[in-house]
Amino acid sequence: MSTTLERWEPVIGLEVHVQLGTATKMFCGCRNLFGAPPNALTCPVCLGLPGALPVPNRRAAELAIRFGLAVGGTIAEVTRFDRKQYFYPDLPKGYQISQDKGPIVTGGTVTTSFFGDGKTIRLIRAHLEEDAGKGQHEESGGSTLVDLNRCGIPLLEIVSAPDLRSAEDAWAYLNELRLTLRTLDISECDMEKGSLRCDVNVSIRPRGTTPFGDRVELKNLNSFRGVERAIRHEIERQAALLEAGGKVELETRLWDDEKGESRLMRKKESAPDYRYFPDPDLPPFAVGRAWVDRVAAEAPELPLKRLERYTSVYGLSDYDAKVLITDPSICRYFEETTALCNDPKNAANWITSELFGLMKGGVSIDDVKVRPTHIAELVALVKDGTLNVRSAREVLAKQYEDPRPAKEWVEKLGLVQVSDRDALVAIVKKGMEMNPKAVADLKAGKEKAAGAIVGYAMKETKGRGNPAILNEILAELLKTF
Amino acid sequence: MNISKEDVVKTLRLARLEVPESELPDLVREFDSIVKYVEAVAAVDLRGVEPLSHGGDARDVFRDDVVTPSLPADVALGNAPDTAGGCFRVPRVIAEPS
Repeated sequence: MSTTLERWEPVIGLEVHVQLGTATKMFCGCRNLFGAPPNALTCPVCLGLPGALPVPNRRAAELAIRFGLAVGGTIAEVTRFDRKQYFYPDLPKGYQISQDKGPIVTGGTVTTSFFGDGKTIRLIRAHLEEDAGKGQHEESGGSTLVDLNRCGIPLLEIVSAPDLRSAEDAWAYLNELRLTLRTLDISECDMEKGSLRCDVNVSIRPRGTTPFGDRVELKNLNSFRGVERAIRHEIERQAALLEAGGKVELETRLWDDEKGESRLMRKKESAPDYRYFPDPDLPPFAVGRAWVDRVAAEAPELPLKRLERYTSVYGLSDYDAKVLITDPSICRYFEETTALCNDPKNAANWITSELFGLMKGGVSIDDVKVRPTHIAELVALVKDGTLNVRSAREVLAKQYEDPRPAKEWVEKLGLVQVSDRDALVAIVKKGMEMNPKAVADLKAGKEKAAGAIVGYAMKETKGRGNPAILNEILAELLKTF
Repeated sequence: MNISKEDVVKTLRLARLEVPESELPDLVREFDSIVKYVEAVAAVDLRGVEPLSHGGDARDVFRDDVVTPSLPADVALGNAPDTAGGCFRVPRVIAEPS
């Protein structure tokens, strides 16, 4: 018996909504902020009061253009806003301001270079719109409580072509998209705070055929892994339907991640008719060459460009560079450290092996008490011979709990490296006398035998001996011993 | 185009309006008359004319991304017929599963 995926080829497209990282909302000056008390961030515009007029946020348009340039899309020369009408209590105007015809960005691609197998996924469009408020159904008594703080926050809706062929593809695409959006400071893309949301369209067709099957839209996806699970489940559900002689209905389904199943939300016949038309309150706007050039000039470096710089200019391994780049907060931390110590390789090592080793249980680097200044200081202290690596590690562990400057810890713990040659020569000599077998092995070319003697010397210096000098002394003494 | 009873029912549903069955025939007639009135415009020859989306000459109107004061929550909620816990309280609406 063949597996479902051997018989059927999934065809998947994603619609991703991200909240743009502006200071204010899309059409009014209310703060764009998560977590304020309910209805503390509203005004006549986002409350949809009669007579209030929207004025678009220039920054939001710029972030959309920044995205368009990053994915190699076409920026519309003239673009405009349309009204999308639907009735829901979280939308007080009775319509959402969106872009139907003439989105600000058309086309472009996302390549899964960091999270996937390098597949290129085409984008159909990305357009600006405003977020709706948040409704919460009361447990008892059939009412809904509405908080309009979120209403009017700028959104960019990014629609992919149906180029994805598996749940893994979808996961990689989402991660890659998020990396681009976060690296470019376009959006925080935090699914838990709702600043990234995603709907999925799934259809399947017999392997080796080209016509698309009927597709189902999945909503209520709360994590990237949830998206993967929902897609896998939907592929199996559609295959079972088709193999039992049934057909897939065009419909929208809600995913329940806890139960691991989806349920019908609406069929195509009851799909809302949004009655789009140009919003008369908002004149069209032109995105001239000069504006695009300015946005391009101030845009941060793209992840792939950064990878190239880290490996060729900084000399980092591909692996280390990717570890840093795939988390923009870590990347920022690394850049700050490097700017202070001017030693990217050691900065990367101290962050990815030593600091990560201390960070347990999903701690964010932004919350760690050890700051880039601390790491830069340690790198410098090791470089100038004040500390050996072992002692520096000890200092870092102390700083992780109590972030006083390294010099204070070095003094407190008596960790200054012993580089005094005469003192070390005496210790190495003693070590050689006590380990005649190691000396004989060394003379016979067994380099590993040095461990016993250097180890002795480290013990004698309480771990503070300068290993480079110890090895040097040992090599010299061996000639005459 | 002739407006049918179904068109009226659908429009009412989209607007979440409740109208007694007895008033539907009047509405059908009125809708129909409005649509016919507007349809007269369709008789104009518009070949080669760019569709107009805005009446004025305004273009490229933007504001800077600068915070302006929001309304105090009690003022924002001031006209609401019903509130609870700092929120507007409204009848529950569910996307219909048909």
